[in-house]
Amino acid sequence: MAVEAYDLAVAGAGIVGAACAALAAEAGLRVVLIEPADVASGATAAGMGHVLVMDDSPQLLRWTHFCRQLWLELESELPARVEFRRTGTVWLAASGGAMQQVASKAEKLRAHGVDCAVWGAAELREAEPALRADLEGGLYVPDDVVLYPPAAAEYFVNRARWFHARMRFGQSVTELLRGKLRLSDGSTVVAERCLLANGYGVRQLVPWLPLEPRKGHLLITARMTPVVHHQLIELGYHDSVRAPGSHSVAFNVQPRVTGQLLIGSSRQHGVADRDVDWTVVQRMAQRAREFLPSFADQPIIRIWTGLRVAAPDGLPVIGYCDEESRTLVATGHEGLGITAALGTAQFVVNLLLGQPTPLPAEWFAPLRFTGSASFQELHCD
Amino acid sequence: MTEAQVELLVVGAGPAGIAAACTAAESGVQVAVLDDNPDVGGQIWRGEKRSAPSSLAAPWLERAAKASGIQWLTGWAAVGPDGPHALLALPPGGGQLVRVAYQKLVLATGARELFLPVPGWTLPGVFGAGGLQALVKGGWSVAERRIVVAGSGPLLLAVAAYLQQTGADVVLVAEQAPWSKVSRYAMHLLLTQFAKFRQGVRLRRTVRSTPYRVGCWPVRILGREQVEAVIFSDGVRRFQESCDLLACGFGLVPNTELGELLGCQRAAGRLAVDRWQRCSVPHVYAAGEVCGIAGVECALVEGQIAGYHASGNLTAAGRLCRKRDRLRRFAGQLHQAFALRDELRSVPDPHTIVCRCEDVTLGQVREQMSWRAARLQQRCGMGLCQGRICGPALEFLFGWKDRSIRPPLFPVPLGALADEMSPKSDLPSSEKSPSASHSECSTRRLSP
Repeated sequence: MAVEAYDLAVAGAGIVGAACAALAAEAGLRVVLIEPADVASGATAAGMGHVLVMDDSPQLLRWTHFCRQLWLELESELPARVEFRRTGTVWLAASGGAMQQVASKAEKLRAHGVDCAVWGAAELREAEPALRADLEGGLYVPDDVVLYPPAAAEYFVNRARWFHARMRFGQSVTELLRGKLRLSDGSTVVAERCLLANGYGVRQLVPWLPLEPRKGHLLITARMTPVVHHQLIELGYHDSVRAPGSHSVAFNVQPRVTGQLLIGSSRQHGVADRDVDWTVVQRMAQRAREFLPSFADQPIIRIWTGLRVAAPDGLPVIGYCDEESRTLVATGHEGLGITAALGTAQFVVNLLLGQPTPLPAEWFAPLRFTGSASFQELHCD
Repeated sequence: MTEAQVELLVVGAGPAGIAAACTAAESGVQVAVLDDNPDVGGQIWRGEKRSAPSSLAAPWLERAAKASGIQWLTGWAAVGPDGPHALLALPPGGGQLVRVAYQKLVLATGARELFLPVPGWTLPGVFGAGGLQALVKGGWSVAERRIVVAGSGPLLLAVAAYLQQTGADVVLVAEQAPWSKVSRYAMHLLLTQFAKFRQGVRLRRTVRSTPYRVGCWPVRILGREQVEAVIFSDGVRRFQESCDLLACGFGLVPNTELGELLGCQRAAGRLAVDRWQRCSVPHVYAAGEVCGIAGVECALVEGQIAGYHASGNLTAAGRLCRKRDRLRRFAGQLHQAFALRDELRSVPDPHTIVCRCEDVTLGQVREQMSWRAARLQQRCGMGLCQGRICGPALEFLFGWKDRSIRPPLFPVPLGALADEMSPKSDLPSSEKSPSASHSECSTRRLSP
């Protein structure tokens, strides 16, 4: 039997791996996608499914704006199942002085060409009457999107198939060899290059990357008449404490097409187990009830957890992680994997084809961590 | 959230739960029994406290009423485990969640009906056989309604007899198992369990004017606004039966969800237990239908074994093991006799709804490779019942296991999850506190 040789083997059929596989196959590369479970069964399924602009750092602002633009351009091609909706985001000014934060956020976004509008109390009340009455206002970002990530990932997988990509489901990559990979069933796959897009799993093959898990909880209500119309996020969402083992909770809800309300969000730094932590759930429920007092009676039908993966500088980790430029990684998107999927695919394919990346490659290069303690432990004994 | 502590927590107040609670309490163990029904008795002894209890139920209900040291938490809904030694529960009428800490746990969560999708099964007027019986026990009148009882197992005859006695016109009892197997089982009962045989004959006599047809199964349910008729097949011919209501029951499914959330191993659709009714998780026992459908006598014996063993009385527990094994063997014969036939897998068509909560059809589900894919891509099992109905059906149709169980076990209002713990000083301390690790939380004696 002839051994099939690929230009690119992608590990992980989450939304990032699937989008990368699709774009690489479309660019004419011979691609194989390797996934141990089902399409989108990891963080892609566990997350909220937002495509939004974040302004935590200038790099992140440029990155998320670029990535969102790619989604907006793809909108007309996406099947209805993806539930792509420009709900927009409303950043809520919850505390005294928060309106000042709203103003400075608006200024930052506008400077980068991101459309947004400052809402006073009256406008906010008119747009989202279910919110508690004493909020001072908020910042409305109209082009942010809410979608259903597993269906989007499946769309990319089908697109990759359409461009002749092969699938190896039920297998995981256990070892990186020169020019090939070993899979969990002992077989090998011959591939010129390999992309590791399996989230927190990347650390098993590239242990020196300083990746931190951040466990998050989500709650979902039963179906109901829609009463929330935008994605709602409490301003100061990212001001959370970042000490290992600490956890933070912020109000973040999304209306789903089904009429359900998805309620977030929590971050537990350095926690990689998947158990439901009821004290965290309690704080999330309290937060949601504070902002949406009339929701106290809404039944919660499911509670689950997922793992975000973060690098110490808060930026994604995309690029080659070896000197020979054989192995790439695409991980560390923290809570922005869905937002970043298309941008990451573009970034990866440009690297593979030797073309300039949409943003400076060194921003996200894994080799930026070669000075890190974990790298030195492994390589400088 | 408030906190309560017990030595032994029993979940489920049916025969197995009652037996476990009584034996443990009589050995001096402090016991709480939690059940979401308003009364003790479970599904099988529902309402027996009010009417005249059966000869099997009466002594146990009496013993349960007499036993001291049992707190009956009826009307309480289990929400989910909080670590290996505590369960969150919602008291009747809602309000604050209570964290019930325990040293040992007995899962006596029983079973529910197996529903298999049949074209038309979402029409009003189609019920589970046990479900319809429960409704009628609860006061719903079916007097003079024409009812077809279909599916499989001895429950069909019991339900038909009950409905007939309450004034219904049971027009047909349709058993999917073939005559050869049903008659062999009847012969087996006659020779080995005469009381059971006599009970069957008595039931049959109650509905003697109703045809009992074996070897046939529903293939389509007809009706515009509600069920009007059912088409049956015997594999060769089809026939139609008009009716106002259809009671369908294809057997029972163990309620393993809480056990699975606790990490207990599942085997062949039930919780796996050892000789002492212990699950794969230390300090967790399972008794009754949750570890395999075997009937009320077996549930009582298993409950006692669990209760005795949990209270350290190994001798008493050991004495019951042979009886349990014998009852389990009988149950095995029952399962063989009423095993579901392969033809039932081809009854639903691609347009038949499988997941009733999310309106997912068989055709949509069949495209997927696994439970997880059907859940993620089609939302199968993601609605209000969280796959309790479609999960077992798909396990039968496609052999899909590993439905992902997530808390809460039942929908819980957001407000209940949000409520603060009561201040410590408000509540008296529990007399016995098996675990010191939760000393920060307030404790109290449970009261039903």
